[in-house]
Amino acid sequence: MSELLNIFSIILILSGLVFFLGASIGILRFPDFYTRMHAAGKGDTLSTILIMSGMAIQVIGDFEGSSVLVAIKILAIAVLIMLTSPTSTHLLMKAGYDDGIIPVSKDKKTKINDLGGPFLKDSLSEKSVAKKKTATKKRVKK
Amino acid sequence: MYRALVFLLLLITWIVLSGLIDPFHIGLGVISSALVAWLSSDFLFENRSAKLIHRLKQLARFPGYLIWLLWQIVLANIHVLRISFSSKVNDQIQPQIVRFRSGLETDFEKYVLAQSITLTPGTVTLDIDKDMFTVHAISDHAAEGLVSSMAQRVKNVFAE
Amino acid sequence: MDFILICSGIALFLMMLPIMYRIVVGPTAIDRIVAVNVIGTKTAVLLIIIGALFHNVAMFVDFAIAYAALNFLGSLAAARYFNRTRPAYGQVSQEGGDADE
Repeated sequence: MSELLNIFSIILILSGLVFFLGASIGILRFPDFYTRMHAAGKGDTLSTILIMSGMAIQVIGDFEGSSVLVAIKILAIAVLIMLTSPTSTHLLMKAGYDDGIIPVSKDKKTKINDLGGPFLKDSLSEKSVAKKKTATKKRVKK
Repeated sequence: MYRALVFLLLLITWIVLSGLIDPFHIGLGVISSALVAWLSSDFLFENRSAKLIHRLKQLARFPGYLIWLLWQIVLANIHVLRISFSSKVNDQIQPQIVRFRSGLETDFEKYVLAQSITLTPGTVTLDIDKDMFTVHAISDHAAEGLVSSMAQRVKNVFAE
Repeated sequence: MDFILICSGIALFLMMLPIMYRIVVGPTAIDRIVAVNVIGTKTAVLLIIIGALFHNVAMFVDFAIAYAALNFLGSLAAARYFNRTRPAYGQVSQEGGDADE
């Protein structure tokens, strides 16, 4: 039983490392700020969760007694990161968006896709139209 | 009632983080969490008029959504992994900005949806303007899968 | 088991190097903040691994909690600052200044 848990935790840690490798290569290779943010936000969160779960299983398996509390703390860090990492990703991305960084696209033109969705088919709100205008204005001036 | 709930949550957090179970430290925890709950309990739980049974129902439906979300996160990471190891990155991605209306009402529902969008396949929330979500998607595939399922699932979790 | 922990710690450290490159080169300021954020998260993980190597996880886990929370607050504050005061690229473009109104 203990052997099985050990192998399971090693698998968790190694898969976390693989996902983190993907995130770091993605941060190195992706063409623009927004796509890099995709790699950072996702790979970081999942690899942290996986490695933390593996370490929690290790801690429970290694020494008995008060180690359950330590394992709960490790899982609490994982939950904390899962809650906060998307928030900071979103906020940083919004900061870049408000500054008017243009997302790259194949035909050198931002593709804006207005899916009304199944919920409400409606025109754009005032604020987003204004934002679109400033974005195009900035691009023209450059 | 909600104030007591906030107090209990804070006390549990205190006990887990301190790890010392003796009368002195527990007493300190009770005093400080009572103080925090008295000062700032109105930050949590926006809608105070909802019944307790309603909250419990939402709580019971939440883990199923969480498991589905974890599976989606794994899929998203495999997607990013494939893109970042492919020999030509620029051919694999079609970055675009997507706008849609979610049809959600309370702030917490929007928060859950925005977090889920940020964590799942190839999409990051850029802006929330009342009900209008602005999302940056990394490929056409991600943009298509976005609107249909996720907002409906969040709506189902928080339904009456 | 210690061998695997040491290897994974070294692998984590080596994978931070591409992100270091992004901190040094990164064209926009926000790129650099994101890279610092990722490294901070991974440092919390690395602290846990170091604690397991020293057989003293109970002490290091508190450091990791504080590090993760402070990392989040730091990136939040930096994002707020860059959102309000200055453009993402280095030089201030005077033409774009009227766009905020």
